Amino acid sequence: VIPVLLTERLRLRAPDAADFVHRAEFYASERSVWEGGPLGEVEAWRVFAADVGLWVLRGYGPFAVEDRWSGAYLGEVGIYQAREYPETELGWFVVPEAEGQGIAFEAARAVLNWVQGRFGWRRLVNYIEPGNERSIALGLRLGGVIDPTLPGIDPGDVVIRHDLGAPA
Amino acid sequence: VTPTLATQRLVLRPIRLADFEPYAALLASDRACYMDGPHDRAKAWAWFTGDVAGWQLFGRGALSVEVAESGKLAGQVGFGTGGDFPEVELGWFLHEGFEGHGFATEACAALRDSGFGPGGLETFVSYIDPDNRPSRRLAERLGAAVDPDAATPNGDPTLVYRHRRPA
Repeated sequence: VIPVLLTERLRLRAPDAADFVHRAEFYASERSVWEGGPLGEVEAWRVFAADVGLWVLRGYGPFAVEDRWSGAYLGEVGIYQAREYPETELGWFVVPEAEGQGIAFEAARAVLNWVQGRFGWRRLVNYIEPGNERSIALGLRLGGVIDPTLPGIDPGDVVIRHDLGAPA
Repeated sequence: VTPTLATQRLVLRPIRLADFEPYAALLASDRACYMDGPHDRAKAWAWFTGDVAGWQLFGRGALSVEVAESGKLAGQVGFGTGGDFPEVELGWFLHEGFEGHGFATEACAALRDSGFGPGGLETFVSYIDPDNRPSRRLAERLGAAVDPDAATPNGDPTLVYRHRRPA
């Protein structure tokens, strides 16, 4: 069962099929250039469904993020692990209207707290293309450190390491 | 929650991570020729996890098929939704060495019946390459019939076999 995480402003919940329209819009736009986009709707669907499938197979995955009070969809934050990922990634995506409000920061903090001691992981990482300065800044603001010794997905990826507490 | 379905000779159970290696091997082989294959591992992983995600997103997805007696993984059956599918699809495949026993028919019939069960669908389809004779025969054994008016994935030429809820 996918948990619900609450923060001051946000509800993190299981993704549902209706959330896809936002991911499709993101992948159709230039905003997705750092995430392998732009992608057509069919390809975007494959990415979305594959991310959601992680929950069933591994017990973790991405959460849909919504405004706790209005219920408005704001984005997706959580754990990603495509086949070619060397480690589990902490990832985020925010709809354009919700940018600049610290939404991804608040949601990512909640996810970091949730994984703490839960899966026996020593750390999470972010794989970020070097030109994606906003995501790099967010990774660092969350307390992550750039670790050039860790492998990325693509050559030149900035890998940010988020150390977790010792496994409980 | 992903169900487990038992038939006379088979167990249809939730897909597990360990099922991925044979899945990737199948997609990389000539057996995937009617699935637009062969496909590499990254593609296989995206499909595999997507097959599983149907249960989370739509309450119906894919199941692994095991031979009850031996516990061996024989293949997969599933409902597929979204992506390039205009309608919900009932799909299936068997791993090498498991053909010729009627396993796919038995597994598909069980999943089809559950799809038509309480709160279920009125109709779904199977997209089948016209040259894929075994799959066509299987669809016909299940009672499905070609629907010449149905939309196809991406508008590609393929046969659409329609399954209808029994009256």
